[in-house]
Amino acid sequence: MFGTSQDITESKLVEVELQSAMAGDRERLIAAGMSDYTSKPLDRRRLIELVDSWRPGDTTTRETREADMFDDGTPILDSHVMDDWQAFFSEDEFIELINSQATDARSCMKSLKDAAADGDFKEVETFAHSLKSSCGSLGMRRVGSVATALERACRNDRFEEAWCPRSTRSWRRPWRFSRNAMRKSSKRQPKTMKRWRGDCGNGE
Amino acid sequence: MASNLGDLKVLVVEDSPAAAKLLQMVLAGLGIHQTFIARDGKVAQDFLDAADDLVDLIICDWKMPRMSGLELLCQVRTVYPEMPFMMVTGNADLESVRAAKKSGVDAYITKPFSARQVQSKLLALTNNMTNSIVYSD
Repeated sequence: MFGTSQDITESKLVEVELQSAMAGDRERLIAAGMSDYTSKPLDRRRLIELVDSWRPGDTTTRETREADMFDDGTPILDSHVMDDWQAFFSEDEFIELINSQATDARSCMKSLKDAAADGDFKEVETFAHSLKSSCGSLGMRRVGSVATALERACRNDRFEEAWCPRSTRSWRRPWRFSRNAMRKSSKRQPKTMKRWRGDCGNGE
Repeated sequence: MASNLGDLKVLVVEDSPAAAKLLQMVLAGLGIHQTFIARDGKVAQDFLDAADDLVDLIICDWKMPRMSGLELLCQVRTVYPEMPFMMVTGNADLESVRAAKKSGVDAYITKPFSARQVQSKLLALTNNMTNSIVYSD
């Protein structure tokens, strides 16, 4: 993986690995002079992307990369999921897919919030389950993990612990970023645009 | 019986409009345009009672109101023991997979799924359907 390390401007690359990622760690370390940051356990894909992004000539700006990641390095949107769908669907279908899933996710979030306000745990569990599904389909990892945690908490009668007024804030930001990332994704072509779906044994 | 994907008539049982839409789009992308959507197991059961000849294969979610996917699977196995039944669910735990298998599921995909996964399972099921005809002859 590091066989091409000669391509990397070594003076720029200082990586710090920590056993655990704490909120704000990244900002503090960058402010202290580190060039970049990743946390353990290492995510292979994330590490490769990180190293690649520091190659000389890479046009990706720090601002762009930061906009694509949360503080702990979790991608806002799993680009591989989006690439898969984009390779399968036509451009119009892909936009239709994003719109339908995003509309459903938004509706789920509203219903979930209303159910929580009514203290209806069963309903919260149901909407969290739907939210997990629609967000997962689009690779919205962070929103999906928040929904998964909430669903599990409801199932285990730990709703009171899992839900608080801050809960809505915990997915509002991931949701806003995911939505923007999706819009951005819908405007670009995937790296390998191969429509493979014709191989279905039906001559299409 | 359908010998390739394009000829399949599929009943999609899914309460989430978004998930149903996604499945329908994937199926259309694979050349399957004869799809019916049921919003829960009860609606699917009523549809099968009225028009089972319109269904070659069932793709079903697990967690749904009124009648779950597992309950529908049990009902289907009683009335239509040969009907191919694919579960597409967010239940990724081993216990759920075992329960579905014990009830006679033919294919199991966990959400989030990819189009390739759906295509691969459908092709396997279609081959089984074709083979079963060959063997019965």
